[in-house]
Amino acid sequence: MSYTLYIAIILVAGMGGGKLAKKLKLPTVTGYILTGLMLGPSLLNLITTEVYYSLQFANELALSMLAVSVGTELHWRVFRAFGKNLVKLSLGNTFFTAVIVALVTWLLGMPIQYALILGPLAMSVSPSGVVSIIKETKAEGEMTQNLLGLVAFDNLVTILTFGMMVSFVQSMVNDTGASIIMLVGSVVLDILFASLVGIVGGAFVSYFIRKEISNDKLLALLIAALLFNSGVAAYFGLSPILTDMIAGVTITNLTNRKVLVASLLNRIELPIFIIFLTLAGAHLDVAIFGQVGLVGIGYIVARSLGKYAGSFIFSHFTTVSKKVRYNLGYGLIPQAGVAIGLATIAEQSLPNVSGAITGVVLTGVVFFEIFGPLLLEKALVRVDEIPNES
Amino acid sequence: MGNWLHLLKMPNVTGYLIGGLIVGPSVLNGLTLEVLEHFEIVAEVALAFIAFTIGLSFKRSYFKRVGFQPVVIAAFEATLAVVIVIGGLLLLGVDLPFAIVLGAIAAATAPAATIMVIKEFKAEGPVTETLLSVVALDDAFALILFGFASTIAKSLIEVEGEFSLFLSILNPFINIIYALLVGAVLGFLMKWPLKYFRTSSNRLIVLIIFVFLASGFSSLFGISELLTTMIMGAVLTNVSSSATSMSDLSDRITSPIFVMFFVIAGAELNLSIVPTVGLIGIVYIGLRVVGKISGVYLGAKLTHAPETVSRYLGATLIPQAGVAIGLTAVAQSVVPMYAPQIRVVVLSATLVYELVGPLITKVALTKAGEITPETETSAHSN
Repeated sequence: MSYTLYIAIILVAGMGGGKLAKKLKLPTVTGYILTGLMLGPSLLNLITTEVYYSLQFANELALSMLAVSVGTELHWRVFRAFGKNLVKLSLGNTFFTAVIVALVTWLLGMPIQYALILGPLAMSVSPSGVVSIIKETKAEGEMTQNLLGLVAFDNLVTILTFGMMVSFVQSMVNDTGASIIMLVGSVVLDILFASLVGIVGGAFVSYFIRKEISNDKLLALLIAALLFNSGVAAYFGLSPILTDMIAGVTITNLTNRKVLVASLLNRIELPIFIIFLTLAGAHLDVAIFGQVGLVGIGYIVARSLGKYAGSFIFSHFTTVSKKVRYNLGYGLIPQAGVAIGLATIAEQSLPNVSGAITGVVLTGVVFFEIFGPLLLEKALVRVDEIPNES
Repeated sequence: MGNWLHLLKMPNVTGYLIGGLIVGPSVLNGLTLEVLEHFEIVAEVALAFIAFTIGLSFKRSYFKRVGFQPVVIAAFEATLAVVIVIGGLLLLGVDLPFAIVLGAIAAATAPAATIMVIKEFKAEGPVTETLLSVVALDDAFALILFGFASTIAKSLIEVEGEFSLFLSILNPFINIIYALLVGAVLGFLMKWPLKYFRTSSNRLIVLIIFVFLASGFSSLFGISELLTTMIMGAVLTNVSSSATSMSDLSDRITSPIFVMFFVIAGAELNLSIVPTVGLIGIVYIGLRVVGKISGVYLGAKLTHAPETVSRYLGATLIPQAGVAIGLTAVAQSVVPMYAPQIRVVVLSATLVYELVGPLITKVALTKAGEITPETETSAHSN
């Protein structure tokens, strides 16, 4: 069967699932993911693993688009207005989460070196879960603003901490005598390089935005730049999320045209997101729950607790309003691609892990992907940031 | 690349194609053959959208106004291109089956580049209008003529009567009927979701679902993708009032796909075969153009089409690409002994036609007075 036909089927099914979810008062995103879960290898096996991998480009494109949208939120004016809040909230909730998750999984029997990796992994927040809900519900307001900033910050902190932690654990396990400073240096170098790639991509797009070429051409160039960034990142083993996020930051600060980028992406994003989320659902492996057992549940509970309590506690040191303080944490629950990607990297760089880390993270993702968007939407409703649909 | 060529007043399409040619295996080899194979889906999708939007322009009111004119013109130009090319090849002294099969491929026209030129320069008028329908019909005629030709060629080669002449002639017709059927059913079905979904992002998904379904089904059943999607558009535009929103929506999303499509098409052009073309290739390339132009002239005169149509339409039909290359693959099974040579001729003709065709289309439309200089400059700044 040709891939065009698969894509058509995925879109039909995903859209159907989304509509059904809406009828049941669930977020559409959850509908897409559950539909994918049903079509995937876990149940009907209509979307086989093979199909999933051949449609991988849709994932890459979707993630790039999400990352760039997150990046465009980080204008220097946002920094000036909310920068202090965001830094406190982000550092607070991520490190709180990391400590709790590492502790809980270690107590539940994870070897210490793996628990140390799971901690930073738990810090990441899925941009797709958060951004797609915000776009879908057209939410606006204090919490939305803070969330978008936090998604960017949290992932940035995650990538940094994770890289250093992997190096640290590597030197702990191998005892190669390589100095910590060198290891940390290589992580920092990776991140600088990723940022450079992102800046180049972003500047390229900004140049054409300033030239005011037609929107059709701009869309083509934007997509070209995004795919270029992810491609270069993948080639050099850097984080594609980071490069595209930095590209977004560059564009918004050089041109001040956040809305233009959003409207360009808006033209094409819904079908791509439906494919992406349905595929993400298909990729969830329900069977993994049984294999991972208690540690998985511990990870889920600890991460949820860490994210919620962390942002709640640290919001007291910020100017965030009271209503938002109680709800912000729910928005940071979604977790998906970034965590999985990092988990795979961890397994490649550490000897004899054989799926222990990925298993736990995947179990978490099954839970967070399905319930995360739901919790987020409910929280947004509670703080009145979702406009009533006519 | 497309932008720099704008300064030389060349169509963007030519820029994309040349850009592709440069990064492709022929020159820099940045896009290797292996990489190009992965992008088949881009070509499928791009052509499906192009054919679908052509189909959308086939309102009943349009046919009421022009009657059978486009059909007659398409029949004449396709047939004459075939006949003249076959004649010329026979004069060169090639084998009859070879001449027949290669000649039949001459009927095919590539709609993509032509449509892009029309869109880029916002061409409007009788030539443009007729061009849209003729280019669409060409696919059907090319398939029919090629079906006939390959049948005749086969019967000339095979002495034993173990294959059914009747069936082989029937085959292309059956394929076309299937394509019409699948396209019509999908076009009709598409009406319902468009009634239900009103927002443009939902409709975009409906659009993509149906275009991909049409394209997927046609490759599943082995029928012409262009015809299927085109008929789908043609049926939809006559049964649903939302059809106009479909062409707006597809315009909004297709620009990145088209750029990729043309760059890939350019990368697939093979410079190295040019020296091997020989006389046969030159005759094919030249006489096909003669056939198209004279065929259009005759057909247009016969149906009393406007003067500009008879004079300029033929030149706009020069581009040739995907369908022709596809037919060479079929030729492989019909006349295997001639297949390599047919392939070389068609591929080098594609190279010439694709690089020169869009420019000629633009010049012809300008001469016909359907591209106004103002829109040409304002294309810069919108």
